[in-house]
Amino acid sequence: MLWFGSWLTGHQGFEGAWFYSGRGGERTSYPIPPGATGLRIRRWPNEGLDAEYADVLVHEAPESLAAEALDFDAPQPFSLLPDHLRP
Amino acid sequence: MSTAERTDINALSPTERSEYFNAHRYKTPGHEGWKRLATPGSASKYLMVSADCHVNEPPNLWVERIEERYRHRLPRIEVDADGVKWSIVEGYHPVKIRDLKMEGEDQERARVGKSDPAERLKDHARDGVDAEIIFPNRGLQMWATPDPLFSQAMCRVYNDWAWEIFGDHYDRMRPMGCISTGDIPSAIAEIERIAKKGFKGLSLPCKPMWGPGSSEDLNYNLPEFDPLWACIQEHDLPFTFHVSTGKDPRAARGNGGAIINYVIHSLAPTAEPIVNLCSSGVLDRFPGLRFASIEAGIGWVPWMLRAMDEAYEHHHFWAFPKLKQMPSDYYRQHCFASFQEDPPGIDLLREYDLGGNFMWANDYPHHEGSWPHSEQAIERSMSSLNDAERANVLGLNAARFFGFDAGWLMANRIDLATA
Repeated sequence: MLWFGSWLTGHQGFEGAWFYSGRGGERTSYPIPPGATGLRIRRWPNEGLDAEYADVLVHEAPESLAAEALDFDAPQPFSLLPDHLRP
Repeated sequence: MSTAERTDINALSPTERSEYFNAHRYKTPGHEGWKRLATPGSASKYLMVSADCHVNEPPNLWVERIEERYRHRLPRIEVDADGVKWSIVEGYHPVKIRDLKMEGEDQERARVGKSDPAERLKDHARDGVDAEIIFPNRGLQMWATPDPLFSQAMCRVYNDWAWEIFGDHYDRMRPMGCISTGDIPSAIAEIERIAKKGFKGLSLPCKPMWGPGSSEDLNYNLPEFDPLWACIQEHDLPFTFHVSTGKDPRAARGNGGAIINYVIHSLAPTAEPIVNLCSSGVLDRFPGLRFASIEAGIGWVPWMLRAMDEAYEHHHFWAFPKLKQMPSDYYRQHCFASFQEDPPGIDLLREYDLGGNFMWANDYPHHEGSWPHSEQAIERSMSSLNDAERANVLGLNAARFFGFDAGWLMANRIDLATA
C-alpha cells in the first residue's frame, strides 16, 4: 500500500511540506517543523482509488506514531464533505 | 430477445457473469473479401492508430508534486458520520465508494494500461495497434473544479510526468498535453511551456469553465479566446476534447443512472465545443486550427452537421456572424472524431462525406473500448467500408491529424512475438 505524510499548517487543514512518500514498512524520526499544527497521513488502499487520510494534531500527537494504527474510518476534522453529509 | 431476457443474470457467479457479458466481444462475421486485415501480426494488416487510449497515473502523482497550497484540495476519500466512505472531488457530487470486484477479462482490463511503455507495447501488439494517443485516466478529474488555476496546477503536474514517461517514445506513444482553459493567460503559458518540451497535441476541456453551463460563462465561441487560438495555431498543435471534461457526468441517479449518465452527461456534451468552433467565425480568423472530439462516437456527427446548417439558414436573422462557409464545411475541413464501435456512424460515413474525419480507437484499457478484441469489433462494424475507407478510418486519418509519420510506423511495426 502507498503511504504519504505531510505537515498541516494553520487550523483549516492546509498542507505544507511533505515528509514521506513510499510503500511503508519503515521506521523513521522526523523533527516537527516550526509552525506545523499537525500531520496528515494518506494511504491508497487500492490503486486507482483516491486517498484515504487521517489527521493528527500536533498537540494530540503521541511520542511515536504508527501509521497503520491510525483510524481511517473516523470522520476527520478538516472535511470537504458537503454540509448534509458532515458528521 | 433482449439481453435481460436471455438468461437469469443474478443466478450467475461473478466469473460466469463476466464471461456472459464479454461473449459479444468475440463475435465476428469474418473478413471475407478484405484486401487488408485488422488481425494482429498479419503481414497485410492496416496501419492502426488508436486515437484514444489512457494511462493509469501513479496514485501519489499529484499529492507529491503539486504546489503545497493546492495539496489539501486534491481528490480524496472521506468518511461520514455513519462510517460511509465518499469520493470527494471539488467539481463532482460526492460518490459513495463501492467495493467493486471484477472477474475474467474485466479484471484484466482493470490491471493493464500502466505507465510502462514496454508493457503497453505488448498490449498494443496483442490488439494490432501501431501507435496510440494517450489521455489521462484518474487525471480526467484535473478539470473537475470551478477553479481554473487549481486545474492548471494539476495539469502541469500531469504534463511533466507524461513527458518523463513517454517523451522518448513520442513517435509511437503520444500523450496529449492537458490544458485548463478557464484562465486564458495561464493556459497560453502552459501551452508555450509544453510545446518547448516537445508535445505535439493538446487536450482541452469540453467547456472552459467547469459546471452545468451558463450564458455568463466563458466559452470557446467568444473572441476572448482569440489569443489562445493564435497560440495554438502558431505552434501547429492539434487539439482534442475528451468526453466528461466539462461538467460532472454523474448528473443522474437511481434507476438507469449508469446509462443516462454515459449517453447524456458524458458523451453528448462533447458536441458543444465542436459546434462552438464551427459556428462562431473562429475558423475564419484561425484557418490553421484542427481539433477532434474524443470517445464521443460518430453516429451523431451527420445529425449535428445537418442541425448546424439548418440553424444557420433557417434562423439567418438570428445567426451571426455571417460565415464564409456553412458550419458543416468547417467541420469537414477542421474537425475529426474518435469512436470505438459505432455502426450508425460507419453507415453514414460515405453519404455525408466524412471518410476523412473519423478516427478509430480501442480506448485501451477502458471497458467501453474494444481491447483486446479490436479485430472482431472492426470486422463487425466496418464491412460496409471499402479498403481505402477502412485504411483512413483505422489509421491514416489519425496519422494526418496528430502528425504521426505513417511511413515510419509501417516500416517499424511492433513485433507481436517479441514485443
